[in-house]
Amino acid sequence: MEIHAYEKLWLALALVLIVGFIGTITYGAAGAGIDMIDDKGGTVDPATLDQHPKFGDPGIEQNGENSYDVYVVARQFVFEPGTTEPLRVPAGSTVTFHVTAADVIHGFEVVGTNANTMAIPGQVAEFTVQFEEPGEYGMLCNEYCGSGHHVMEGKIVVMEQEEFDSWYEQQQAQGEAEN
Amino acid sequence: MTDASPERDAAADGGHEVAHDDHGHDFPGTGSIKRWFVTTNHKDVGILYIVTSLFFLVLGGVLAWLMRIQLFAPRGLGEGILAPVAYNQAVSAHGLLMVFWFLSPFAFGFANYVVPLQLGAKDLAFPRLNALSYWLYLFSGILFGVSFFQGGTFSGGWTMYAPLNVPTFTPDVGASTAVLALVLFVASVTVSSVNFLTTMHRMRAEGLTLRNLPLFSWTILLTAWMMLFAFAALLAALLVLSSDRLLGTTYFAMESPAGALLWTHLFWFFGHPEVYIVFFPALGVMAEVFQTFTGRRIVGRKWFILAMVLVAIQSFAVWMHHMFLTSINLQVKTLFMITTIGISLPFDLMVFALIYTMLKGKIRFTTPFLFVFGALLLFIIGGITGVFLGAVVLDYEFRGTYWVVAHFHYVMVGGVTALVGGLYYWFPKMTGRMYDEFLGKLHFAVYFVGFNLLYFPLFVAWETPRRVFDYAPELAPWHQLATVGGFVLGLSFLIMFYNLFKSAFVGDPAPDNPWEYATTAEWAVSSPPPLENFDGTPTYRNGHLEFLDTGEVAPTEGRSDGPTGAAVSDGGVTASATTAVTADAELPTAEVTEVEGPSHASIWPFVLSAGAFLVLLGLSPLQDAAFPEGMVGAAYATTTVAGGVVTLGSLVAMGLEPFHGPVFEEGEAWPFAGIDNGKVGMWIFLASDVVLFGGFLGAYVFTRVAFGWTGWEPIPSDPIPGLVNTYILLTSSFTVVLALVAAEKKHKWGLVTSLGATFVLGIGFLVNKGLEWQHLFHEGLWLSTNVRASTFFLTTGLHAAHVIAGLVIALYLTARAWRGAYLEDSRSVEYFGLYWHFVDIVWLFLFPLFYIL
Repeated sequence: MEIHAYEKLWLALALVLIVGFIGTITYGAAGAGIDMIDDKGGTVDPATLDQHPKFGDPGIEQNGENSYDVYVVARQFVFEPGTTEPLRVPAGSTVTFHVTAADVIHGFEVVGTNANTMAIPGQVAEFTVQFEEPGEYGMLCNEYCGSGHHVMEGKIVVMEQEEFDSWYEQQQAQGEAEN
Repeated sequence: MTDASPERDAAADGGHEVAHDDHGHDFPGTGSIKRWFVTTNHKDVGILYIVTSLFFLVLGGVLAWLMRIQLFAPRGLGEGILAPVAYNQAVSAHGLLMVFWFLSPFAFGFANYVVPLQLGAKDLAFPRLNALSYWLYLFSGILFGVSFFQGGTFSGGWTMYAPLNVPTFTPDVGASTAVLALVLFVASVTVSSVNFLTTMHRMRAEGLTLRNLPLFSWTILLTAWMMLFAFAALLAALLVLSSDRLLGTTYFAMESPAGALLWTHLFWFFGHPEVYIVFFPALGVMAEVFQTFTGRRIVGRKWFILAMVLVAIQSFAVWMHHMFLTSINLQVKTLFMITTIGISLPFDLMVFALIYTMLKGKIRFTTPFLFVFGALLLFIIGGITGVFLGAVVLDYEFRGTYWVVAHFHYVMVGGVTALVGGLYYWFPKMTGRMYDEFLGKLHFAVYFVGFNLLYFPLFVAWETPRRVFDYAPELAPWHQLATVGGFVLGLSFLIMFYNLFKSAFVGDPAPDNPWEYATTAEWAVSSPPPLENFDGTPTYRNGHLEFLDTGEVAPTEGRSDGPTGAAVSDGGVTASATTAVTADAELPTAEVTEVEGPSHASIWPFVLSAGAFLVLLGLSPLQDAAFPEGMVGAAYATTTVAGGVVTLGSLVAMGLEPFHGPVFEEGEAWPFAGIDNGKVGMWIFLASDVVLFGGFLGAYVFTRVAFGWTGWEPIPSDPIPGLVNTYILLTSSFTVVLALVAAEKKHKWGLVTSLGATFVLGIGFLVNKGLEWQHLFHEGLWLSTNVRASTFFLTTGLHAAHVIAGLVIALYLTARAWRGAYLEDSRSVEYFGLYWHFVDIVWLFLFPLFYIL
């Protein structure tokens, strides 16, 4: 079969394009080392979240040096924590989020970052991120969740480590005092 | 039309203005209003589809304008023209209307008009079912419209995610109505799919093998197959949802294990094939128009077709890419990422084939070509931006942002662009007049500018979060551009409406083939084509289209439109919501004893659809299986009953009406050569019913696994009634076989007795089941008790609804057999038998799953 030079060029370009796409995607999936949401978060009973050891009193807790767990409950139409009081995290540490919903499906998106997941009742989404610079981020729900959907938002405050530590100690002390 | 004469022969009708059939009567001309209510002709139905879908385009477009006005600036609560809930409703209704009530029906308008012509058929296999599809579609759209006035329509997004979709969270009656409107729409689609598949496999002209089928017809063939299965899955999802909303089952309730995930699986199993269902016809239009206006056969035609077939199959294995942010395990996600990236490869091939066709051909820039060329560019942008979304990791960045919005609008509205090109392309064929070329090109220019002005800024402002009207203020200029673009795009259609409306009356007369180099068969007949399309019998036996004089072939009796299997589906299926709709068009036509011309008119599809509309409207306020108190509830209940009577009555009338399908000489019929149309239709319908039950059983298994398989006790503590029912059904299958044997032996009383026995056994099944349920109710179990009870009652209830539908048919068959029917032609009994055996087989799966395991 005779193929015109022009056609060969055409085919070659097409192949390069396709291989390029697949390469990009493969790198993104395997090479970039981004942690993906999967089933490791496990399940919870959405009806009894209040009694859950972690989601009963959601918030941040230290689980090692420079390593924290954050429990977030999304419910109509607030993030706990996040909406009534900002969620405070230290800059430069590893933060593992555990996000679930107490009623319908919500979105949990830290605007402008790749911290983004669905909050599904009964399921816990678990993902780890690092906030490099101190600053403030908006947090919002991007799944329809009812009449108050448009006001469902929150705030994340990324603090300097020392500043965070003193705040965190104060919180701990307060918690113990209450107990 | 009750006095319908068997001699409704309008075959000689060559014109379109008036019908002047020799036998002279009741098929009015196109100028008559009555014509449009009774017509079953595929070309009329096609035009009805196109006009109606354009109406829904306007409706969906106005909703889009409201959203764009709201988004003109970042808004807080109470700012702008839409209240928060109104905004949610506008977005949800816009999505549902555009995807369901505009895009597919618009494409199927062309399919109705063009496909039989391209096949060399005189009509679709089941003309009345075709009219029925249209009317169900129209009434489903009206029902959706009504939902706005019942406290507000559905407001949870077009994906209708659970548990927001249950009344706990969306209590408006309108939300239920919207779901029921979708059920009715799916009924329409199922009828249509069965009809198209039967026609396209069975009624191709001699020599027109699948390999030679024109590309537009190819895309419709693949679309119809995808619709058959995908919409059956959607139907399962919608019936479960309807039951949750109306009867109080708890599949999707927050407390149910994995209810939210169950919905996403069911919905996206349908939802992703739906993307290709919507896009394929547009691709077909692109291929046709490219070939015509480049004057060249498409490059790599064989590979093009193969690529489409691959996509159609693979489309059922990519759905979880819509669920990358749910807690599905990573291996499965990776698998779906691979299939998703993989499905883009055949599209690359198609795009290159189209581009290369242009390079090799000689382009003529007419309006249709401009539109499809524009569509190709838009699709390339939409496609490339979509590839990124296929990667799980990038999904974290993009999900819930306007990147997604921009991407799928480029793809979907890119498809619309091609279909608009198709409208210009076939307009001369449909009306017999040319449109104004200058206005057509002007429309394209304004449309294309408006399109890109609307959607391109959304890529730039991709960081805008979806589904809210608040966004970062610095993105506002881009959104303002988009809003302006939205108005430009929308208003450009005014040019088209003016152009086409005016041209339809005063345009230059169009010749048979206004486009040189158009090669498909629709251009070989007059514009518009005669009522029965071809004067002679079209054939490709010598490698090109020829018409044989009618004398050269002996037309066989139209063997179509006997038992019209497809409607069974929708009868049986709707029945789970209301038994009133259970009867169905399985009702056979009067026995055909003389050769008659084909029929073109029946009012019953219209009446039947109106009845189904009333039934569903009446059921909409149900909650926990109870009508609301007082006058309102009574009014709704009355509507349901009235609708049920109309539906049942029109089914019987349709069954008794003498109606003859198109006469055809069997040409190419792979892979169903030599099998009767009615039988093929029935098998195809049963295939979709398999998927419906598959959806229900899948939902059961999924819920049970999430609950813990072993901790799940069967609801009936005593399996004996179920076991007895198993024997009853098996025996009834046997009596159906006896009935067929008796009919074939022309043994009238044997037939009547066997059918009667089947009926009695079916009643026995239902009575036994009723007693069992009574017993369970007394034990305090109800549909809403827990999800275990929900799955038991709903799944076996769906089966019981199928049994009831079968019994209605059996009763009808028995009554007619009593009067001597079916002895000459036993096909109706045979098709009923297929359905009945299927229902029995389903029980053989249900019994162990729900009583023993």
